[in-house]
Formats: sequence, structure tokens, C-alpha cells
Amino acid sequence: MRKEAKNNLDNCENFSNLDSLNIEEKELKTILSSWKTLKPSPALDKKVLSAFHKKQKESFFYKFIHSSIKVPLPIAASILVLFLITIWFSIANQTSNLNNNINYISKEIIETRQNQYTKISEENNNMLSNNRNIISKHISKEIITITKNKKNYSQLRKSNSNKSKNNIQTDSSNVFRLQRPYLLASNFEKQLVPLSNSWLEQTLSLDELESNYKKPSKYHPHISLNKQANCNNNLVFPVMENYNYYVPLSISNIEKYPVKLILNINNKSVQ
Amino acid sequence: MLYQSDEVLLKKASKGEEAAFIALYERYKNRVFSFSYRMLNSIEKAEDVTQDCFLFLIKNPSRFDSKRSSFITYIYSIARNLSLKCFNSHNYELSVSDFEEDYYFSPALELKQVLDKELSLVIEKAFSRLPSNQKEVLILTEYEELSLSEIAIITTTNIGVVKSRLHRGRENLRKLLLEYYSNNNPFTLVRKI
Repeated sequence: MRKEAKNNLDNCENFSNLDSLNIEEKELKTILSSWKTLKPSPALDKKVLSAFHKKQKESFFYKFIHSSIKVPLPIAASILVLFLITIWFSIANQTSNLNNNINYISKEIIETRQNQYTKISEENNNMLSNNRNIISKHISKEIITITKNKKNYSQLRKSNSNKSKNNIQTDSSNVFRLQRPYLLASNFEKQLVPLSNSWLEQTLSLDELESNYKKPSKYHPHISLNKQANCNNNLVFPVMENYNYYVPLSISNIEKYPVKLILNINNKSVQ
Repeated sequence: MLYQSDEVLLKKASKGEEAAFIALYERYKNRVFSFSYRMLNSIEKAEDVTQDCFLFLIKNPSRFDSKRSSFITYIYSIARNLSLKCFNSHNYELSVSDFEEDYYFSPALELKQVLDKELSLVIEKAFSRLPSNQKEVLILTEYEELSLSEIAIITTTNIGVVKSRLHRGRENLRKLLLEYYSNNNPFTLVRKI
């Protein structure tokens, strides 16, 4: 009985609370309903309509300029990153292509230079061989003249031996005159020409001349034509019999100063 | 034109049909204006928000999706966002001093009207003291008579949050308007200076 009475009391209290809440809400609603707003002014209607007309008159270009799109930040960031990556790759490709092009161009330049060099060297070799042939021809002519002179010299020597020892006279016919060589290449501007009895008798090729030049001995003194040629264009130096002598021929100087080669045999001035 | 749905009117208005725009505007201008006015307590700001709201509607018609929400929740959400933007952008301060002068120095008003306006001023003050999230929920329920689910869509929250905000808002309002509860008839209230 007591419990039922308690429950009834509780229920009554709850109902009274709910009632009080509802009453309060109703009171609040009635209070709030007294807040009435003003109606929008007719000026607003005109304003809105004019804005609508203005919007309709906007040109396509104006709409395009003032248009905007909303992109979420992660998507925008990812697009930006992709864009930067593509730019980076494109730049990297361009630089690699540039390097390749530079390498290719440098290779081409080197190849062309090499080709040019080989062509020039071939041309030089051809010129060299031509010049060698020409020189050998001239030298052979010289040799012929020298052999002739040598015969004359031997005859003269025999005749002189018959004469008195102190009365040795020079004769212009004994002069070994080297004809001025011409058409010589610059490569052989300074060439030592061996001058000997054996050499006089045989025709030497230019290679042999070069080989002789490469092996000079102390018994075969080199005589500078530059210095000797200044003395009345006469090249005078002592000559021993049965020795090989190398006579330096400076072509440029020979061209400038025609040389008269005078050989002194056994300290006897014999031309 | 008057019997066409909101969606159709919106499409036509966005294409430039003036009649459709006017029909849509007439249908919702009072609601939008009253809501924004109660949020901002300023006629000028409320008019600006109303204008911007309708212009936004016709500028971006594709944003409205009838499958996701009704047109009324969509237009209220636009008005709510614009009001909050206006409220936050200018360090907005709610003031009712201008209205007080208008109310108490107009001689043509009768006593009842004066009392009504006084009460509305009191309520306006009380609302201005509420946080904006409680304020918007209370306005949408008490004045715009929207359901809790619609308010949840407009405020981008769930119903539970709306209920809690509503409850707190009502409690705060009761506290603020406590002195007017002494008599059950609020129309007999006398302003206490």
C-alpha cells in the first residue's frame, strides 16, 4: 500500500514537472512570438531586380573572368605537386638532351677535324713525296756535275803533282759549284747533304741522305752555311781525303746567297 | 508561374527569365529577410543578405540538388552562411539603441503597441546575448518553424546537436527573460529601468 502510494506520489510529481516544463515552454513561445520583424522595403525589390538585370547583361568575357571554381586543398596540393614533378622531368630531359647534343656536336667536330687533319696530312705527304722526287732529281744532276768535276780534279791533281809542291795554283775549274737547288719544300729547309768521295760517285736517295743526317760523327763536322755564306758567298772549309763530310745546305740562305763551295784538300787551297 | 515548383523556377531564372525570378523571390523573400534580420539585427545588412542570397541562387543553379535537400533548406543554408559571413567579417556588434529611440519617441503609438515593441526589443537584446549557434537554431525553430532534421541540414550538423543547442538556447533565454516570467501574461510586462 505504501509503495503504491509512493509511486502515485512520484507519478504526480513527474506530471507536475512535465506540466511545469510545458507551461514554461508555452510561456517562452508566447514571449518569443511578440518579436515581430519588419517587412522588407520596396526598395529591396527594385535593388534585387536591378541586380538581376545587371547580371543578365554581363558579357561572356566578364563571366569568364569572374568565374571561379572551388578545389579541395588535398586535390589542389596533389595537382601542384604533379605539375612541379612534370616541370622538373621536362627540365631534366632538356638538360640531358642538351648534354647529348653537346657530346654529339663535339664528336662531330672532332671527327671533322680528324678528317681534315688526315686530308691535310695526306696532302702534305703527297707534296712531300713530290718534293722528294724533285729534290732527288736535282741532287742526281748535282752528282753528275760533281763527278765530272771530280774527274777534272783528279787530272789536275796528277798534273800538279808533276809541278813543284809550292807552286800550287788554284784554278777556277776546280771549284765545286753547287747549283742552287730550287723547288724545295719547307720541310727540307735545313738539310745536311753528305759530301764524300763515295757519295760523289753514287746517287743517293733522299732517305739515305736523311739517314746520314741522323748519324753525324765527330769526324764529320757540321759547318753552318749561314756563317760561311756571308763571306763573299764562298763556302770554304778543310777537307780530308777519304773522309765523309756533311755540308749543311740552308735552302733559304742558298736562295738568298748563291754559294760557291770551295774544298781545301790537305790544307791546300784547292777550288 | 505561381504553381511551378521551386526547382523549375530556379532553372528558368538562372536562364534569365525574369518572371520566374520574381516568382521565386516573392515566394521566399520574407522568410530570408526575417531570418537574416533576426540574425544580424540590422535592416540594411538583412537586405544585403537577401539580395546576395537570390543572386547566389541564380548564379549557381547547379549547386542545388533536389535529391539531397529541399529547396527551403537550401535557401536557408545560403542565407545562414551569408549572415554568418557578414557577422564575422566586420566584427559585427549588435546594437539596438537606434530601435529604442524609434520605439519610445513616436507619439502616434498606442500603449499596447508600445508594450509589444518594448517586449520585442527585450527579446532582441536577449537573442543578441546568445551564442550564434544557439541563436540560429532557436530562430529556425521558433520563428521559421522548421523541423529538427531540416535545421540539422541547414546548420550541417546532426539532430542531436541541434536538440542540445536548442535546449541550451532555451535555458539561456529563460534566464535572460526571467524577470518577465513573474506574471504568466507577458503582455502586461512593464519595462524595468
